[in-house]
Amino acid sequence: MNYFIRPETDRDIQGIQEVNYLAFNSQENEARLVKLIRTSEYFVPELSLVAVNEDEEIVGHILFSLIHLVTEEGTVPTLGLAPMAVKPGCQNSGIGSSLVSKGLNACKTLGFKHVFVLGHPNFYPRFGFSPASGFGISSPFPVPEEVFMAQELEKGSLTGLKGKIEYPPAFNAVS
Amino acid sequence: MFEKNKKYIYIATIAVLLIVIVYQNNRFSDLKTAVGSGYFRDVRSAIFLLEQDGDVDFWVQTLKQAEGQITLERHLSEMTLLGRKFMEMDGKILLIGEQLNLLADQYRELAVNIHNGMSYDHNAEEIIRNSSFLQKVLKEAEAISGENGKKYYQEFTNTDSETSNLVWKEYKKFVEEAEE
Repeated sequence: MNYFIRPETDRDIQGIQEVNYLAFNSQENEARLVKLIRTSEYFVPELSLVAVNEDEEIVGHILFSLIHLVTEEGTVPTLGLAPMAVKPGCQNSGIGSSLVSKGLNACKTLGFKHVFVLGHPNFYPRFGFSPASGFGISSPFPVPEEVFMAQELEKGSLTGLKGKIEYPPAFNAVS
Repeated sequence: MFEKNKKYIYIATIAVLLIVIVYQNNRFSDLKTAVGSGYFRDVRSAIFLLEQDGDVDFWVQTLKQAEGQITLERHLSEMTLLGRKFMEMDGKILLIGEQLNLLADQYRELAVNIHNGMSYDHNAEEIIRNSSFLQKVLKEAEAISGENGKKYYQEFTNTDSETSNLVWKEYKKFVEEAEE
């Protein structure tokens, strides 16, 4: 299947909801999360990317939104990757990997220095993520260390920033 | 008078439109060839860079010298630039860019570990593995399109092309081996 990746437009909103609903076993949490983030101040339109096929059907979606790293010296704005969804039937064909790569590239282009993700410890390290605990940064959720990961988009940008990540209220509303 | 010439006016209009369409098609085709030739140059440059990369031991020795870090950074800036170019390409091809960036990171980690007197064997192993993967994929991609700019354009802008599927297949194999 031929597809290409681009930032979302207003016309994609329904398709994005559908992909997130279908990809997460017909559960509404992720679709709701996207909806809540989109209407919040934490939404960055350029960082909501869709993978569309030749029929302009949305087959994948990835969202990076603003979150905060709370350190002893103060609060540092950063990015959180969540959620990432690929339509069942289109999974395991490179769309997810392309979305993550393209997304990280877009984050860099916009000048962001680091990204955090709560995800599969075998998947995200392929793109340069490593456990956030290695940088002295902890997750607000009680999860195993290896699933909460960080990536410096600019080398050394997390050095000395020990602390805890704080997700926006949208994340609490769906967890 | 107009009625009499109507037929000729229609024929002339259609002829002009046909000429414009053919002209536009040719221009579009030239543009595709030019973009494709750019992809060809990037593939060649990446193969050349990785071949020049040579033995990891060379970098280990270089990094132990006073100006070693500067020499490595020059090399890595070229790698990062190429990585960025591949990252701007479509779909699965951009995974080559991702791996080029990771390779540059692995070299930087190698430099840090050498500088701090720590073990760097695992860095060297990762560099060799990553570099071999990239060289294999790039050479196969080059074999598919040869030196044909238009073919490069077709292969690199279609996520279902032979090259795209090759990159994905090899990439999957590469990450599965790493997880074993």
